[in-house]
Amino acid sequence: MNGGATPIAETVQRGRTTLTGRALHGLAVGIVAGASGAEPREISLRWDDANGGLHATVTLPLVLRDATGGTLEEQGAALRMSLVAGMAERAGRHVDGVDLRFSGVRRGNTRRVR
Amino acid sequence: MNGRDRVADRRLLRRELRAARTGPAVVVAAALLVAALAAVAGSFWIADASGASAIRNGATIVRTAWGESSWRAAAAVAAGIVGIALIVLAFTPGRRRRHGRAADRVGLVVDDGLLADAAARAVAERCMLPAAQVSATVTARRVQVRIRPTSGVLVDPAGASDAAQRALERLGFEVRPVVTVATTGVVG
Repeated sequence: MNGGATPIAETVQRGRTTLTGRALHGLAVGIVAGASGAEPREISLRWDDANGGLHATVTLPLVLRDATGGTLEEQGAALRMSLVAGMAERAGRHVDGVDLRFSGVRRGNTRRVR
Repeated sequence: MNGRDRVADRRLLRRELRAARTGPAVVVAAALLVAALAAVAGSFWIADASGASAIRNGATIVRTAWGESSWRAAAAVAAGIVGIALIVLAFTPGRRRRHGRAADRVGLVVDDGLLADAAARAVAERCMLPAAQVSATVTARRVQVRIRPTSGVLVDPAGASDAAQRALERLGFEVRPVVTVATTGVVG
């Protein structure tokens, strides 16, 4: 799960790639936005440490895109899975838990015309 | 290198690794000197009670001072402090915070802090952690490495221990480090 952080045995590497807290936050917001259809500015996300693991608390509006979106439980589970998988794949971070909170409902594909 | 050089080297190494005991030795010598002088003076006084007036005056001063309880207490406290300090110095190993070894041609003396830095740097490189999240302490026989992991990134304590051990071996010191990983990590 920590693919990005596993050192390649006995190879001498110069330099190091580090991720700041802001980068982790931005990356996670992007993953959640992509998976949920919500705008990044509508998503509030906080990373915490949970006994050495990462724990995310996400608040976002529920976006109703079409009728085949599944139940709220299923949508939440899919969102959590996509965040866990995305963080493992992109940042090499093992996410232990995701708390999800839908703070409202928004219809998808609505756009304000000026 | 002949035997005499080897002995001299060992002595030099020992001198570099141990704290000098000149101060306590001077204190003990001074105390013994005072005690010897007092014994000589006392024996003169006992032998001839009407003897040298200087010794008698001195004895009188000492006796009047001894008569006051505050002086007795002060003397007891001073003697107690010096005694405890000397006992502590006698029982503690008195080593400086250094490691040393005698090789074939050169003797090597390395500060413990340098060894700790080398171990911490090796562990940070091996675990791909920022240097601030790894700290190491080197004592006489132990090397303790403490790791604060990055949240969500697993740390391999055995690998970290190997890396620290290799770094110390490169410097010529064979110690098996003890690696502890903190339960809480750093988000980032």
